[in-house]
Amino acid sequence: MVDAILSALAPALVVMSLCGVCLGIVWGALPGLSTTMAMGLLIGLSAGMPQDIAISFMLGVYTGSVFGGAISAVLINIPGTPDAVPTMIEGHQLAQRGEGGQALGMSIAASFVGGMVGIALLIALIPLILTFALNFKSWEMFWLAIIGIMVAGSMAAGSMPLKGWIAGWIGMLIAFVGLDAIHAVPRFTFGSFALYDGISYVAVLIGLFGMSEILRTLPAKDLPTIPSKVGRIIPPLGKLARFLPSALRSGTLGAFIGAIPGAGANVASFLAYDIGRRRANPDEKAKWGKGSYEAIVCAETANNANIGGSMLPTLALGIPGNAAAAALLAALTLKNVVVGPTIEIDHPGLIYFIYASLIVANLIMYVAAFALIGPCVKLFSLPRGILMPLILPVCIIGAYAVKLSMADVWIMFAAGVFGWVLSVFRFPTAPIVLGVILAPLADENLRRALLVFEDKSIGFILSQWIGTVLMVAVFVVIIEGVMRALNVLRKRAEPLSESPPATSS
Amino acid sequence: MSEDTQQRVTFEGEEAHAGYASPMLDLIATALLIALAGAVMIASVALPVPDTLLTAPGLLPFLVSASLLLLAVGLGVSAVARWRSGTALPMLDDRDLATDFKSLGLAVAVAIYIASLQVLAFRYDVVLGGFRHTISAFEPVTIIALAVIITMFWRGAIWITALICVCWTALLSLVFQHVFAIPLPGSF
Repeated sequence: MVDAILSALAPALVVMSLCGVCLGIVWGALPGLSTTMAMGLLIGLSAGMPQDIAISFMLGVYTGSVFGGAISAVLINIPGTPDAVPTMIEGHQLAQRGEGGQALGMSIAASFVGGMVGIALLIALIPLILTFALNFKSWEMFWLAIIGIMVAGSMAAGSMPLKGWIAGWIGMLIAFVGLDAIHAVPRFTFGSFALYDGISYVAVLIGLFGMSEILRTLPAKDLPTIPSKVGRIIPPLGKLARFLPSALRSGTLGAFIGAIPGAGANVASFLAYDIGRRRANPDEKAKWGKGSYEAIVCAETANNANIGGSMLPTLALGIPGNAAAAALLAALTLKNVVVGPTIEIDHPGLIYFIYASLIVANLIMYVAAFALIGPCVKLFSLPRGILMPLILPVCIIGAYAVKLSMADVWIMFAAGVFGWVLSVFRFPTAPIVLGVILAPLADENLRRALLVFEDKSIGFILSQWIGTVLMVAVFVVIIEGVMRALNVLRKRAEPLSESPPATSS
Repeated sequence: MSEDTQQRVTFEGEEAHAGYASPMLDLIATALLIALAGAVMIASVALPVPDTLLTAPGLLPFLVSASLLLLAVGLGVSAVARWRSGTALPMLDDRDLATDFKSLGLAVAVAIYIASLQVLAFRYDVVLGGFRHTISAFEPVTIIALAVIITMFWRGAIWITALICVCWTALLSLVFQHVFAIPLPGSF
């Protein structure tokens, strides 16, 4: 571990981590530009970098952009990412009272603590999960991939999990295009050799999170962005110490939620916010919703701890914890790094390098965040009509850079238009990415497992207890989703049924 | 979070739009999904089976498309139920059609931009004092495309637009070629 930290502190890596963190903070701070968009677009940039530099850069972007959302949330009341909504509710109230700087200072400190809690839990738990994951065979990996897609679908679409699952399934269908991995039979290629290699998921990712966001937000009217006064940023130590127990509790919660495949930082920050409110003392509870520092601490520690948590399934099982982790997985794949239960055998020392890079990125984020608040405030006055078009060439270069192929640029464009159409029909896009990434894993492993189970009884299949537990978990996710959708439907119908009948005049 | 607070939230992001649409839109989506699932099911069955059925290349695509068909039917049933209950959103989900048309116009502009990069590809190497830089269709096409798109959505002075486009394109060209060592599209 000491060796890994020393490697991660090499000047070139620190500089790239700093670049990634700064880019991430500015990106996350700008309304409409999300963490996933940053990660997706920057995969292309990392294509030409050596492996260690690419990892430091991408982890820097990830760490920076998760915090960046808090700046716009507090100062202009527009969270760039869903996980910054609780911070916005509390932070903007404080900003209106002239305490915006304090709210941001508290967010920075909480993000740092959250990041460290997430990394600590990652370091503590990954050896256990890796040992356990070595027992996973084809049958278990198939169900794990399906769980990842189902949970992502269930979480992304809120009251309508059906749409999330459909999005995940569409992602799987996209991934089936190309030569099949076992027999090299071309599937759904329509005779085009360009499709034999399959559809590049980097292009799909950039299209869904970059291009489609440009198509969706550029024509929309500019929201008024009048930044609140920042004021003093560094929070008093006493205040920081008072909220440390809440920070540790929320950080642990955020890391564990991040470890659930498909559950993102938004779930972590909302849950930590809600639990924090229930557990707050009466004085602090009264401030909840009107500008509470403890609420900011709960939300920000949880969403930053989520980064370390999301690395657990990503590194140990090859199942991304969320869409941003999926982008990181794609970047690692471009560097021929195959993550999963055998990561320690296939790439010895890499996992420690990732821990060390996360620690360095988190330390840099703590310093850079204080320095970047001022420039970010100036950037808020940049009209959307200028900002979004400037991202367009970055999308094109990002898609092109992976294979130097214009076909990938067209795939990115098609994915962007498709993402926009999905937004018209109110489908989420994150499950598509998980579907695209996890479908090959599911496909290969299902067929291998079925071959192993040929001539075996149902009893034998069910005796593979890990697989059976995972299979049951998939059904639990389905049942929970259906129940949630029915509950929402019932609640929507209630006001009508309870309202008095209209009287004719 | 109180309902009042929830209503004040104007969240922007990729999942901001996910959830219930109007039954009309959900029914259109249902029809499209059923057509897609049906087509993939047929195409999966038509795929060759080199070994046993258990390892058939079309096995999982068939299972996924069959379950997609069921999910689509579920979406349709839910849309009809909401329509009947009278709790549905308006027909077109309160969409701002003018904004949608602008999005389509933007998509067309981007398609022309990408096609231009492909069709007008050229390469010209500039050497200045030992510093070698490649100029390709990326630079002129990007400047023009950005200028057109910015003009479509921002009513600022033309010279500012031109300056932004030239500076941004030059920055991208320099950074990607010399920092990230990535060749740019529009060249060969």
